[in-house]
Amino acid sequence: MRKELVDKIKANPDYQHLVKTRSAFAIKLTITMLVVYFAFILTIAFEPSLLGTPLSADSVTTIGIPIGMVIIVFAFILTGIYTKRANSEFDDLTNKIKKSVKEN
Amino acid sequence: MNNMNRIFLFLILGSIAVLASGTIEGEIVKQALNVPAIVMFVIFVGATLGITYWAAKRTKSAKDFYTAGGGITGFQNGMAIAGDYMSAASFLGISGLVYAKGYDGLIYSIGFLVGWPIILFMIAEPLRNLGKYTFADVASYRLKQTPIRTLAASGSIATVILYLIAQMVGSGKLIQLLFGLQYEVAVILVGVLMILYVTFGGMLATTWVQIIKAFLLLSGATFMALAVMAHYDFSFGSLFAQAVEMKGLAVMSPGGLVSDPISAISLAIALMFGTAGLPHILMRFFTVGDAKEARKSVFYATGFIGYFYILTFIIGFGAIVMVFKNPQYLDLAKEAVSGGSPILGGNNMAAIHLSHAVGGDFFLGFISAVAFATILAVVSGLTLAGASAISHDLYASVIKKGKADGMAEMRVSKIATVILGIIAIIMGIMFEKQNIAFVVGLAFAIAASANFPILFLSMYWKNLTTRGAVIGGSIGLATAVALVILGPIVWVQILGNAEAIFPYKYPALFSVTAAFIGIWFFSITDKSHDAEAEREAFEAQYIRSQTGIGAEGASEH
Amino acid sequence: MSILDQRKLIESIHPFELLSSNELDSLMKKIDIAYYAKDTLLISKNLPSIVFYIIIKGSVQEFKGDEVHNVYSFGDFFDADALIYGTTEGRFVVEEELICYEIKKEDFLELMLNKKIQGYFLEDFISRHKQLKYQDVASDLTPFLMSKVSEIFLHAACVASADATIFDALKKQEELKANVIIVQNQDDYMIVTDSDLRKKVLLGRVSVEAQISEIATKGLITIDVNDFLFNALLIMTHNAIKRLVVMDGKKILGVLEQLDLLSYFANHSHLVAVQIDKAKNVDDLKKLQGDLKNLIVTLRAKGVKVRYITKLVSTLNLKIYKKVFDMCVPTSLQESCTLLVMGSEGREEQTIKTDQDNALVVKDGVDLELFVEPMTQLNSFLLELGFPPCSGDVMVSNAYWRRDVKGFKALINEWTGSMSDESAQNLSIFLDAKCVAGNRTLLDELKSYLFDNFHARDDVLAHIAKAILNFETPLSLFSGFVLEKNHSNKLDLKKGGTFPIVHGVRTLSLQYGINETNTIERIKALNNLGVIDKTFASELIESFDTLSAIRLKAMLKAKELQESNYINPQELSKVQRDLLKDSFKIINKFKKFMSFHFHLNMVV
Repeated sequence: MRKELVDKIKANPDYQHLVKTRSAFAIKLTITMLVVYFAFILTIAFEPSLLGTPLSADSVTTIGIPIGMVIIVFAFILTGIYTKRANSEFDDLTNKIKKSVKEN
Repeated sequence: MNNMNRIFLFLILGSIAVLASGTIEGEIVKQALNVPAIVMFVIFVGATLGITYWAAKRTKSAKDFYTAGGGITGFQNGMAIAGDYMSAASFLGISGLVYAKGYDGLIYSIGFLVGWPIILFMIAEPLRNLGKYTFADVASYRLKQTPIRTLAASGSIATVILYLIAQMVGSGKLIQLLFGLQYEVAVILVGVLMILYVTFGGMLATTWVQIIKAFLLLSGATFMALAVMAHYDFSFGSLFAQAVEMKGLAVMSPGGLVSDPISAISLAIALMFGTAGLPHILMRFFTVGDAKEARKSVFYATGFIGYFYILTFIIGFGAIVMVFKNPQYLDLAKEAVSGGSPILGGNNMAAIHLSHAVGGDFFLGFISAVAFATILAVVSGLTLAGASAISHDLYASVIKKGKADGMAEMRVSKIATVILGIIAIIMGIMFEKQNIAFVVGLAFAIAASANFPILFLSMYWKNLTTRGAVIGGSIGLATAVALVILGPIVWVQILGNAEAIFPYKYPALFSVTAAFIGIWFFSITDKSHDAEAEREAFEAQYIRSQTGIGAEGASEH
Repeated sequence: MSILDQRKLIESIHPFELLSSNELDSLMKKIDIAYYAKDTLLISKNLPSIVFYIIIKGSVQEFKGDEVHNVYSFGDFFDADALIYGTTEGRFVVEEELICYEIKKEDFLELMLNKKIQGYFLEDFISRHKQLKYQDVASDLTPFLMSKVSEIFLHAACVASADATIFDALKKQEELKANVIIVQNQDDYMIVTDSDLRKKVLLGRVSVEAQISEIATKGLITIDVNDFLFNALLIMTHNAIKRLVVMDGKKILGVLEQLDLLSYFANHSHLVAVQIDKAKNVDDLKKLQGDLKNLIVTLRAKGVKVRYITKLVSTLNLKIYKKVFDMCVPTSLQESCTLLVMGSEGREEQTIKTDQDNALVVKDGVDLELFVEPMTQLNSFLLELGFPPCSGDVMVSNAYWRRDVKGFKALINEWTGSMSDESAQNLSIFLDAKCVAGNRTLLDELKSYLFDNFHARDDVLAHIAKAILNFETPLSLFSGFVLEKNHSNKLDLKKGGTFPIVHGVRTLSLQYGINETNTIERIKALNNLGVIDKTFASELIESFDTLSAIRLKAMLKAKELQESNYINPQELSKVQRDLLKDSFKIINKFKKFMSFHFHLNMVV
């Protein structure tokens, strides 16, 4: 174990910044996903009839169907959001850290 | 290795030919043989294997020594991930579930899908940075090899077996339906083919193979969904109206499948966290060259899988309107006994019947072939992962204490493949009547209980110790397996007992909680010297998992 | 075909050459010649084999099930197993009309009583392999012994007429730097050696103004220029003389010295090495190039294992490198840098001059600019010496491969961080780095940094390893060779054989932190670490040796010693073809092992 290296990286402001922002971002997105999904599941568990409400009086299509589809699309969009930010901001930060750590 | 592919092609075509001729002679068989469909099936299975052979060959025509096919892009890898994930369970199982229960099928689809964002946000990044591609490798990164690998291997093997059962039931039913064989014979046949495919193929789960199969499956499913929608002038309203007319209003809202809150939450937990614990999925993050492409591949995979689930939903409803009560697909013998217009081969075959309804024998052969080839590919990935858990984690690391040579490990892996195949055959016969999406749900429950907590905590929780991981993980695994056995499906439906000891179909809520609590408790109370060292090693591991910078040094050398 | 020809044919087929002359004679009496039309079924499960077939013309296919399992043609034989075990799974069918020898079953079984023959048919892979190789080399020795006098260096002959004075003759001898004086008296020749001069002129007080013929010895022993070197050696030994006069008809061509003859036979690598050390400039080194080529030919002919030849040649090339380095880099700078050779040179596996793959590591804090000019010069010197430039520009003249320690570390980080093909390629080149001159601690530092960086990087290792699957092993399902149509039906030994072994072993060495660069040494180290077992390790080494040997042989045959990886299996002997097939099978096994070890099925 190279204690100095660990300490050095830990002290690196870019590293602290990366870990903080990325974790916060990932947790935020995870919670969003969990909330949406569990809201859906709990509705099924406790109030299934809510999802069984017809879209309109003369339609058999229930509100649950578009909601289900929206959750699928939502999950896709969330991964897109994360990918976009991680591929630019977080990767740049990581590279910066690597550079500063390895070249000194 | 491609030679082996060719052998396998001969083999499969040969055995199919034997099968076909055998059944033509056997007049006792219940239904008339659909010869055109069988011909199409044979042609398409052959063509699919041929295409994958060609693709594998094409990537090998590199002119330079190090540049294979110019590298796999994130888009392609996303397709391959989807190919790994869109197994028989997803296609046959979910469409069958939608066919049987309507809206409830969607609950499964959504559950299977939402695991992916979680993986991307929490698991993929650290996994890639650590440079480890099996769950056991990650978990034993700073914890003790022997106990952790034993546990990890057990979890992986349990998951693989349940997942294999689902594939077995799906393909067994498919072959039974297509060739008019007895189910048991079909399962044994499929099992033997699978063992051969894996032991001889070895390389058949390659990225290109998965890409092509995913593409074929998506195209076939798209065609089916379009054909259904075209029938109703692309109006969901009229499709649903027709479905309601056939099966009643219940198909449009959540109902019997997850009636009580405990089951609902339990299922949700299993589906959501199970994906991350599947042993064959994690490896794909490493197929692409850099982290950017890896993330993109999860993004695309989520898109493909989501799109595919929407298709299966339409296909399920299509089956309600076009297959249900259609005398052509009814199992008359069974109806005479139990009534309720059952379809041939059971609900799992709804999508297959629909393919016939919209595209005739030709398309039936195509869809069957694609489904079958997909199953083979998924199974090969799964079996390889399971066999590697046995040979690498149990045999080489635990039994031989890391002293096994590579060839011996390879031999063990081959034996393990055969054993796994035999177990899958036996269990496949036992699980005949079960919906395969449901069986996959069980596999996910095991993965979520035994694998996910350790994987997650080893990456994020400093205080995790070997003792905590082993005891807590074992509790999770044991609880999950025990509750599955004592639950209504195995205890009542398979073992024939009158009443289930554990009333819920899904154990995840209890087993995952038990695992987390067990790991937490036995970790924080671990005051041993080793535990301290393990906690201290966390910083270096965490830094590497966040940045990819190796700070742990080469102390093992 | 005469009886003699028949006998020759049988004798040329392994393992029959192992038979003694008497055994062969009695075998020849028992052999029949037979003819079979196309599509004749010769052996099958229900048609037990009663004779042993040796093909003279035509071909036979062996089927297992519905598949062609093997094809036999001229010089091939079948089916020993069917005779020995009395049963076979295969079906042997005539593909092209067949003329063949037949040895009756009982005669064949009797033949099997001979231990050597029995061994061949019953032995396992490795020992059969070794035996074949020995045999292979022995047959190579023959053409060497059969080489002609004309192929060797001759000293100028000093020919003096019989009426010349001793003084004039000696003056002429001095001019020509000849060892002896040949005295010509019309068509008769005599000889005057140093000992003649000593005994007769100095001690016998014959005047230097006397005629040379007075002191000449009669009965000059000569050899024709078209005679064999082997005969020359015999004559010298027989007559206890140290030199022979070489004649072309009646013309004197020169003098063959025993020393030259022996060193022609002997491994004169030492000589070359000394000459390299003595070289003062590039021109001196250039003169040695021919010697190097001869050295390879000689050693090969003497039956020296290819791996030792390549090692020796590499050592000599490294000496040249060092010499050139000394010429180009000022002494004051030599300890601040280290010159690396990489690729096959670094592995000490080159038999001929392959592309230059070199790099320079400079101590941190020393100005890199100081090395620009010396390195450019170094490259051009090497070029002059016949080291071809690297097509990928992996040379010290390229700034990418001329860095300080810090710069190389950054490069290693880049390689570890990305899994691109380019990184894998550069890394692979660097992994074979060997220090040839300068301060070697610089390389040691980089190597340990490299191993640290790759510690537990299973993912990157897998991406490096996957290159071994880029090319198919040129062996078909039926154990036939797969030839490349656009390469005039040849097969690529490097792509199909050497590369997978070299690269796979290299990747494993990176994983396990093995410092060796030579492939065979690496395999041994891997075996010591328990990564691969002993049997497999020796199988791999044998296969690697076989491939290298065949490659070298093909290159030597091609006259101009150019890097060529393509060989035509038809031009190989039956023995070599068998060896090659066995080697390819081992390579397939190795590929499977690598796929399993690195989970390549998931990364490809």
